[in-house]
Amino acid sequence: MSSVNGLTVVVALNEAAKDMREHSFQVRIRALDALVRSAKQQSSGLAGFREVSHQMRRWSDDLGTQLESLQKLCGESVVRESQFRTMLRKRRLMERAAQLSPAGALEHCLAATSTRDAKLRTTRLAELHRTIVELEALTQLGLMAIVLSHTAMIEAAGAGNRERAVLSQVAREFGEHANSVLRIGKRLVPLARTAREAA
Amino acid sequence: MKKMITLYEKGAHSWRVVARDPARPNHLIDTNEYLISHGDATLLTDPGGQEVFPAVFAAIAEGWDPRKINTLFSSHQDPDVISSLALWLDFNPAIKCHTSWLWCSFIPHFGGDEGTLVPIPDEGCGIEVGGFMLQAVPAHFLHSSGNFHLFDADAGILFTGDVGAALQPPEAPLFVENFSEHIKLAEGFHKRWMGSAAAKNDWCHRARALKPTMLCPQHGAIYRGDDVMRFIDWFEALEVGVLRKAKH
Ligand SMILES: [Fe+2]
Ligand SMILES: [Fe+2]
Repeated sequence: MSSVNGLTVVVALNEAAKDMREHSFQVRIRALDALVRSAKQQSSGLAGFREVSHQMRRWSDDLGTQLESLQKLCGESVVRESQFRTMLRKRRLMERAAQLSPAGALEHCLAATSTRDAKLRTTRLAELHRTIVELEALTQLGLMAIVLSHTAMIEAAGAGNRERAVLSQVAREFGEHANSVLRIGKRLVPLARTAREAA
Repeated sequence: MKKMITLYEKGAHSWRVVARDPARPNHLIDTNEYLISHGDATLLTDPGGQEVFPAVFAAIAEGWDPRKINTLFSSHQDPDVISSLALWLDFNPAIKCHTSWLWCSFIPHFGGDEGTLVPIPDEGCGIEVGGFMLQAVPAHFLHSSGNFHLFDADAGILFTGDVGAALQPPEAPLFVENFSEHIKLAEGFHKRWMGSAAAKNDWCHRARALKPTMLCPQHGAIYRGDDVMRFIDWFEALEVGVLRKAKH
């Protein structure tokens, strides 16, 4: 198995982002559906549910923003990881050349390489750290959504007989999407941490 | 490790070759790098692939001063010719690399920026090294569509890139010793790599007129004396652009 590095994280993030976008989309549809249904009801008991629907929509927006930010970070990580790999290759060849050549012939190259190497390593570490922070924020979003889905369940319970079943279904589905996002976040955080430690 | 051998020396003017790497891994084709020096300036022909940079640099550093290398000549765009460019520029960012105009936006994928590459027009041109003029001789389609050889009128040496190349083991002699035996190692390569009979015949006329005393390929042994014309005659008669049929 290949070792965990920035590119492994990028690939995993991109795959997860596809899933999460789908969850975000489904939640948005569900939130709209719930809004329409609750708007048809004049009952004041549904005001809380309308608020939850609004929050579901907002959550879907937040998830979208979070995903965009992760996507941007992925792009930067690919660039950095490629630079890092090129640098490692050049450094290996330059060190080999220095080893074979008379002492001092490549000293200035090795010194310049070390400076560039150190800068690149720092940037790469900072990017991996940012990825972890963003993924933790994503996990928090998942947790928040789970709490929100519980509130929606309670609000649904207060609805009239006719709407209770449908609205409970909306809340349950929201909860499932929230759980999926939380699971993805929890899976990715350790992967990014391993990559950071390996860096 | 590769060795550096002097081919020609007259006053401040010299040709050296870096050749034959017994430590080279089998999956990399062996290459010859030539150093043409005049005064304090040195031109390096087809500096090689990045994986062979350590061996090439070490051999040059041992027998010459690599800081004198201010010019590279890239006969064409192949990776075995010029993929070490980024490493040479790390060593000396002021190095200029002369190559066909055709490849000036392709070779930077190996390294360098808009100031690194100096385009050679299709008809060829002079390339100055320490006040001495070398001549970039057109050799298009042999095998690359933008391809140049380098002629030194004083030394009578023609650097011919992939033309004249032979696939030989590292212990093979530096100069061709038995032409008819040697050319067997070159035949398959030339039939397949050289795609245009017209370009080949055109080059043969041009090369013959230069009357070189030495013909220096990027791979394999160097031709000298009568073997130079022997090679040109052989090449002229060779059917090129041939795809070997699979054996059943
Ligand atoms: Fe080539
Ligand atoms: Fe070649």
